[in-house]
Amino acid sequence: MKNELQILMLEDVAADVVLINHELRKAGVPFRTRRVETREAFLRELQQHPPSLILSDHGLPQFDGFTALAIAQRECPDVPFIFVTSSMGEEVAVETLKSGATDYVLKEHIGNLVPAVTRALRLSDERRRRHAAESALSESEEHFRTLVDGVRDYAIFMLDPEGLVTTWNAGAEWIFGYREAEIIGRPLATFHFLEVGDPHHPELMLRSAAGAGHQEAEVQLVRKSGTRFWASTTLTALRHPGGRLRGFANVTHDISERKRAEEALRRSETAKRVILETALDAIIAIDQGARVREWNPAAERMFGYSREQAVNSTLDVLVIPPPLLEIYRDGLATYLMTGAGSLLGRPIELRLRRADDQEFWAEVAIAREPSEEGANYTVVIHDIEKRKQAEERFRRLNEELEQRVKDRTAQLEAANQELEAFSYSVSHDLRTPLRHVGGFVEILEGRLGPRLEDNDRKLLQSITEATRRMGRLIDALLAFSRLGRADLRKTAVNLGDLVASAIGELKSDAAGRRVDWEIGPLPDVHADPALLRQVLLNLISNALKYTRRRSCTRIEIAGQETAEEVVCHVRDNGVGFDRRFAHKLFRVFQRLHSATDYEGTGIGLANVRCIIQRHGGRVWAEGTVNEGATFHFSLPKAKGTSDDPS
Amino acid sequence: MTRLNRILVVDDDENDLQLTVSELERSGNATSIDVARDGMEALLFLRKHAAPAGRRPGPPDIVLLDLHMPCVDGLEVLREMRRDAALRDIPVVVFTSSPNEVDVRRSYELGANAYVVKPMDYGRFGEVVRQIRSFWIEHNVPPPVAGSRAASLSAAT
Repeated sequence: MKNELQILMLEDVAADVVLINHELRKAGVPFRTRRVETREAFLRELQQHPPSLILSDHGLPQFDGFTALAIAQRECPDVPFIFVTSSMGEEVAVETLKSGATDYVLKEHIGNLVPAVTRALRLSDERRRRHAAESALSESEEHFRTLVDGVRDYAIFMLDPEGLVTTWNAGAEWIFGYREAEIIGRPLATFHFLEVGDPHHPELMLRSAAGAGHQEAEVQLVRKSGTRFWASTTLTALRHPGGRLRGFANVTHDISERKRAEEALRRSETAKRVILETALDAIIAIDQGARVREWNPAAERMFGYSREQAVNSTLDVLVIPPPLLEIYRDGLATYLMTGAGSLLGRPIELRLRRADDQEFWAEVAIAREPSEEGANYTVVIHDIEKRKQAEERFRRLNEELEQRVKDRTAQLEAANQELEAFSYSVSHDLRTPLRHVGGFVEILEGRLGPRLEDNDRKLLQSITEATRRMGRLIDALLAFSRLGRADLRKTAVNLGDLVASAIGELKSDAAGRRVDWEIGPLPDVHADPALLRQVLLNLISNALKYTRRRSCTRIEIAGQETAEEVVCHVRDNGVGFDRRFAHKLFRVFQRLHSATDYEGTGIGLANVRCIIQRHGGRVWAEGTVNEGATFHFSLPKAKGTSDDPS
Repeated sequence: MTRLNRILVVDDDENDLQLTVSELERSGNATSIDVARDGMEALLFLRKHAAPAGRRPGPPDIVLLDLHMPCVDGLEVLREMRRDAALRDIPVVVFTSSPNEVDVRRSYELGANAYVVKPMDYGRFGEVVRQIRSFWIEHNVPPPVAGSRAASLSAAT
């Protein structure tokens, strides 16, 4: 029978056996008794028929109860052992219990047997169950430890109630860098660098874990190497069954990556926000349906719609002037159908509308960003109304300027034509009478012929000479007036060659005279060669003319080059001039010497000045009466002249 | 019979006219000189003498034509002459103070046979007048025209 109580009875008195059996039977418990009297039999029974209860007499002829108890405790510690004895002093009874017996029953009070048995069996049962549980627990703990030890991503370790490390898994070693031997017995604060008072200070963490049973935090911890990292840490208080604090379980996970990602995201979001907030251009995000998703402050200012008004409205309705809506929608439809259109990727200029219906020119750029619903678009709008207005003003000003230039040119042309007519008139109308005077004088001479007296003939010759001279003056004046209008044809000119050529042409003027020519260095210049040659001819012929009465003529021609210009001079040792009148030298018809002494039209130096000034240069003269004169002229270097640079 | 060479001088300037005529007269005998003092007078004279009639002789052998004249100027005279079949072939020497290139070009375009600028100096002026006469009257063979001149030429041979 399975539920039958197996009783091993150590008893030498048969009557007592009967008595005990009787008593047990009374209790109605099914049982089976095996009786032994010797040590050998006891041992054999324990091994062959393990009992569920041992009832033992105290004193036996061949054996004794205490020895049996010791054996039973060794062989089967869970089986209840009850002394059933006739004589037992109080001290002996206490002794039996101390030795590990479950209970004792005096034969005189055999009625106590069944309650004692019942109690003993219950105790034994409880003890067996506890053992089973303990063994199961121990096995589970073993599995768990293996699991924990193998975890690498999580630092899992135990702390004692004081917060000192008691266990250390591979994950903890991996994360913190300490080996188990180094860290056991060290405080939780080893991984923290926080000051006391910080809500995540280890002391506070432990205390609040002890209080609430559980404490979680994201904290910065420090590795053995000294580097810091973000970790998520969970502390769980562990308690004895009675509630006394046994320690803490700590689970720590390295969340640096997540924190970095979060930080990057946060920064990116912040940057985006700052850009949106501070941009001077309207930045508007719209979805596939042109519904406004984002509307920055610049958009608020530009269009006059607040963010609240704009978001969820349709962008075209908001900002496109009604007459342009059709065109805009066609364009958008084309884009959405073909995926390509004029709007994307390059800025376009559009008329847009503000909340107050005022229209303005804007530059619009659209960027497409694919999304789950299709695509989102970022629209950047730059108000170019002012620029457009400025452009328009600029264009009008340009037109006005062009018109003015045209007018001025026409005026100049008219003036030139007038001057041309004037020149013609001078040549025609002033010279004709001179011819008449000359002609009639000749006719008169012819008619009077031999009748003429010498004095009268001289008078007639003077008249003829005077008309010729006036003819030359008129010619010179005409040439001068043309000089101011002739086109400048500038080119690189070898000044040395030009001077040599001019001297060659004037050699005949100096025939029979001794002239020392001193030609210094002459740099190349940028000038109209024909006109510059005229300048040199005038200056050199002047030099020859005004040295005519010197026994030895010396003429020096040289030039110096500076950063901006070339300065040349022609120096002679002639009659010179009174420097008080130097300013008159270059004026038309101004002469400082009589035409009788030094023939000339009074135009030559005026021509020189006119030509040099047209080249952007200057002319000046130095002289002393009877000590010669020096004429200087300067020519700017190739660049920076306003004339035609050909 | 020596043919009487005929020259028409057209000039509005009395002095130039007088000097020119004086020089022409001095330099050759068998020359008849007519003068006109403006373009209108010149055209009237030319049309009147386009063909010989009775004792009236035909057109001149050469016209010395000034350009710048009041009312009808030299260029207009030239244009009218070249339009008129009777006057078209008469040699015209433009004799003017103007060295203006525009005047030169227009004159030749309108059919001038020569263009001579009056020299400033009287000495040269006289010489130029003599040379013109010499060339156009003595050396140049004028185109044959209907009328007395053609008849007189054939009579001469």
